[in-house]
Amino acid sequence: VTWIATGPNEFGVGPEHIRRLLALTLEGTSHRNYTRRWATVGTEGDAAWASGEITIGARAGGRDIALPFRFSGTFVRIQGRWRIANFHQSVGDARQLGDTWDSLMDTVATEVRREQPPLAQQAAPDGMVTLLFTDIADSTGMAETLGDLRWMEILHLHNEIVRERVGAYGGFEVKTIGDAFMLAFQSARRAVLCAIDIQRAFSAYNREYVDAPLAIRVGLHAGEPVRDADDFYGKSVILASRIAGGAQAGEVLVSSLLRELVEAAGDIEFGAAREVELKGFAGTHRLFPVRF
Amino acid sequence: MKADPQTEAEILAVLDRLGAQFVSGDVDGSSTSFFLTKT
Repeated sequence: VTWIATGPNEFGVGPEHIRRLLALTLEGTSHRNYTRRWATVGTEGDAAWASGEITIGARAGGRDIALPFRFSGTFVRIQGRWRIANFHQSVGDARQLGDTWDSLMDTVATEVRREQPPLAQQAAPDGMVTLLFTDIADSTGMAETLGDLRWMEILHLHNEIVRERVGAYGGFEVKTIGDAFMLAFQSARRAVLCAIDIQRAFSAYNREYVDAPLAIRVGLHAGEPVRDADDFYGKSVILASRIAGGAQAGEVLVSSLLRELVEAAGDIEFGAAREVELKGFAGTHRLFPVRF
Repeated sequence: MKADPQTEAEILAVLDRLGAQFVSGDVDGSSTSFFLTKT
């Protein structure tokens, strides 16, 4: 049983939650009544639906109020009895809800993301792959400052933030290495968009968790690595990892190859090129920061 | 398909029972799912 009401934190599962929220919702009112104004009912076998309008009347603050709700519901017949599968009531006048709507929708969006079947690919992509590495800048110092328990809490939050974005952009989590993520995408463009979204999410996180800010480095490169089960090996993997290591805190840094792959779409902008030496690779590499 | 009179009466009875539970604050939560949203 799921209840979604109109205020912050008014989302929950189970009859106890519903009772508590009803008590809050109806607090201060008395002589409440329910009136069905009209309804249309349709059926198809053991399924039925209905829509219409009801009024909830109550006495509050010494006066009578009548709240009109539109509703729609679906029903199923189980062992000869009709039961509600889903019931939706909506307030016709948005002004009754005010700005609580935004906080409610944030809550709902978070819950939906948590409960929905993962959008992330269930298998690593084949062939040409864009590899994305993230890591937390100065994580050792953070762990020391915060202490192990608090650091683990922060790390879990970090992982949740990254995983939400990976799923949303159709990426595949190859593995985590300490506080670093290795991700793979079939689409180079979606990989870069995911990287941008990850950095924006951590900006938002840092505004909320001022005592434990996280600076993330993100690096991307595309190639055709050797695949073994759901992991990747080879030069392109190491290069992508090194690019992430070369990124500044809060930056998304990509190889020149990746820039060429995604720049045609025109919706991703890059900063000036940097010539960077990468450990284990000869010479310098031309890398580009993404502007966002 | 429009429901026949008996089915309609049964559905409306379920609806009205839900409405009564709603205003009394006594929802058993065993078979219902509410979505109260802005339109």
